[in-house]
Amino acid sequence: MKISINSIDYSGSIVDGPGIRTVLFVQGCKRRCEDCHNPSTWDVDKGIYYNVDEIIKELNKNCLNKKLSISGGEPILQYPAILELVRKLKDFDIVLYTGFEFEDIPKEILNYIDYIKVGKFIKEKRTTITPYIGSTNQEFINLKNKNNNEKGKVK
Amino acid sequence: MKSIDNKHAAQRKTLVGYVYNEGSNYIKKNILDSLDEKFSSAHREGRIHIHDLEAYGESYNCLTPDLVKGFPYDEIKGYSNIYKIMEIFYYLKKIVIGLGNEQSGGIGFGNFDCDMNDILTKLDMTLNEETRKIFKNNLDLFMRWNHEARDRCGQVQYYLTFNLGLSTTDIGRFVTKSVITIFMNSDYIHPNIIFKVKKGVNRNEGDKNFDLFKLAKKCTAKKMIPTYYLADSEHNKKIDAYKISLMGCRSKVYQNQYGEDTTIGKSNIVYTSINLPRIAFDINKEFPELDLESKLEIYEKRWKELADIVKDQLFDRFYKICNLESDDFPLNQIYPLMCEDINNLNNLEDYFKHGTLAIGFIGISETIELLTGKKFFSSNKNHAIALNLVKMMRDTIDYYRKKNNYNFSLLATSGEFISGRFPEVDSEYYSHPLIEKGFYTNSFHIDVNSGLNPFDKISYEGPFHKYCNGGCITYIEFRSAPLNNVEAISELIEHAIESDVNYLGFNYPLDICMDCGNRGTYDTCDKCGSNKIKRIRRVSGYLEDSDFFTNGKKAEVAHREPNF
Repeated sequence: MKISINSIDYSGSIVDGPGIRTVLFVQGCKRRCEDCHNPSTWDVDKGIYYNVDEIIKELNKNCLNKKLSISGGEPILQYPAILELVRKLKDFDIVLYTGFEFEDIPKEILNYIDYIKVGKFIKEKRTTITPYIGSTNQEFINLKNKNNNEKGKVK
Repeated sequence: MKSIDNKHAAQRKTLVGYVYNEGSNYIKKNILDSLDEKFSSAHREGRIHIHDLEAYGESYNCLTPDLVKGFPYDEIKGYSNIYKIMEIFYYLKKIVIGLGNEQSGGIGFGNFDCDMNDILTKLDMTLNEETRKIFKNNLDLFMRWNHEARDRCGQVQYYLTFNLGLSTTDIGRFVTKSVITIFMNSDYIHPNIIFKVKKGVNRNEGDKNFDLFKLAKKCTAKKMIPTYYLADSEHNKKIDAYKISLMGCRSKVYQNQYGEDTTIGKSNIVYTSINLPRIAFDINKEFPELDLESKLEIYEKRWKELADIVKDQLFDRFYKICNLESDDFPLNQIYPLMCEDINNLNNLEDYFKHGTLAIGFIGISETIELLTGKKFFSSNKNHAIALNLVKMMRDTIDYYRKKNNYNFSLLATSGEFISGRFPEVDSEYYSHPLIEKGFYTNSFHIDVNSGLNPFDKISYEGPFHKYCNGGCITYIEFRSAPLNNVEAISELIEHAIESDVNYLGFNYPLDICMDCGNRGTYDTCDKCGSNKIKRIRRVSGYLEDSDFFTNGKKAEVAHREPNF
């Protein structure tokens, strides 16, 4: 399956989830939030297409601590490809950044990720002092705690 | 949160501070004029830097006082618990003020947790609700005093560092917890705190002090302090972690030709740093046609010639201090804080010989770039060249140690002042972008704007640590405060231990709102909207209000790019 991405940042982020994280920016988002951090990821036609397996190979080679944050862009717009990606990255610690609310996320993917950041960015509610989120309406949820420290318990 | 004032800038301009500065400048000039021409011209031409010139021949650099040995137990044995605790902090304060007056450099408490445990136990004290409360209040007052004090020469603070983390007794654990908690929840940027990380004591889940290590990391994520001494790194494994401690500036005093290897009760006596890029500029100018290998050969020869001058200059300074009287060190006459009792020595050399004579360096990065045309971390080959250079320096210094039977050591100098002074002097002789950027890169550090992944930065710098037996540090630069990303701190500490790093610190722009005390990285406070923001940055190992930076440091900080 193909996935459209903007870039992969291996420089080691400390603001996209716990630990030092590699960030995969997928391409395409229709939300148009004012003051968005990554407007270059908006245009759905401007991505580079890769096979999911190519991305996996790439990540295994360069992301040595196996901590990945999937950001964008809006990953849920490419749901089938993202699902395949996280299913195949079994031994990775994965954060999914989405602008959707938690209720709107297909439940199956929650089995394969460790954390999820939900809610769209609202400029007026911007924060730089709450970890891992951009505005105070958003939520960073630890799914490991939710599911007894194991992946795959959300029904 | 205590309210924060910003009187410090004003306090630096008190009458006493002014008099001290004028006097110090006068003395520096006189000292330089009085030195052997070969020392003074090397200093004036910026080939070397003789640190703390105003103290030349007048005092040593720093001391890690033996707090347990020096404590006057008998005098206060009969006192009440409250009074005993007050006396302990009175003693500590007297030490800090006294040493601040009679030496030029910092003060290290080598095992603050273990030492407080020993002192309290010897005074027959136990922990109960009352003693805990009084101890913690007095500790808070002591730390606040150290944070605010500008009473040293009317202008500068005391460079005080607490080393802790290893004591597993109830008292020791209480002390470590109290120090970190007070620091974390206050606006204090002093004293400096170094947490010693050691397997079986605090490093892993199940270790008795694992909770304290976690607390330390939480504090680091909020305030850059503590930094971490890594006892499990390969080259530190043979060192008794209880017998070693570091100065906030990174100085490491341990090996001893005259007795036990330890930091406790010992000093760095004298130190001078060498301007590495300058040698490379000279060689490029004199031998533009030579290939790299020949240039490296000449480099080694030139460095050794300069190191020989530095060695002689260190001896000159060392022997001048040895000719002083014990009366010149009144605090050390009152309390036996040193590894020898200076009241009963024929000659002060019998104490000073235990301390280190350190030869420092700055600008490996610029040097390798000048010689090879590329950064030292751009290829394995260049990395090996840089490592060989530092190894050559250490080998030479080990030779000095053996031949002269004094504790010569190689120091990866912290270089607050020389980072700016050396390129400034070099600009009189050469014109080059590496000079024009206004600073030279600290010791063997990778350029502050490399943008390297933090794991890679640690991997590249790690192999240098084992050579720098006079002290060194690796810093990780974050773009913003890690807030509560303790996991990031943990991962990097573990990677640093695997990479043979001796000492690790984390830097990031720390902004404190002066109206509400909120902490983070911002121009306008996220909590209350105030734009009265105090900017805290690290300089030479100690946190400072950025208004007080030297020019070299300002230039370097402006170039700092995070490693992520």
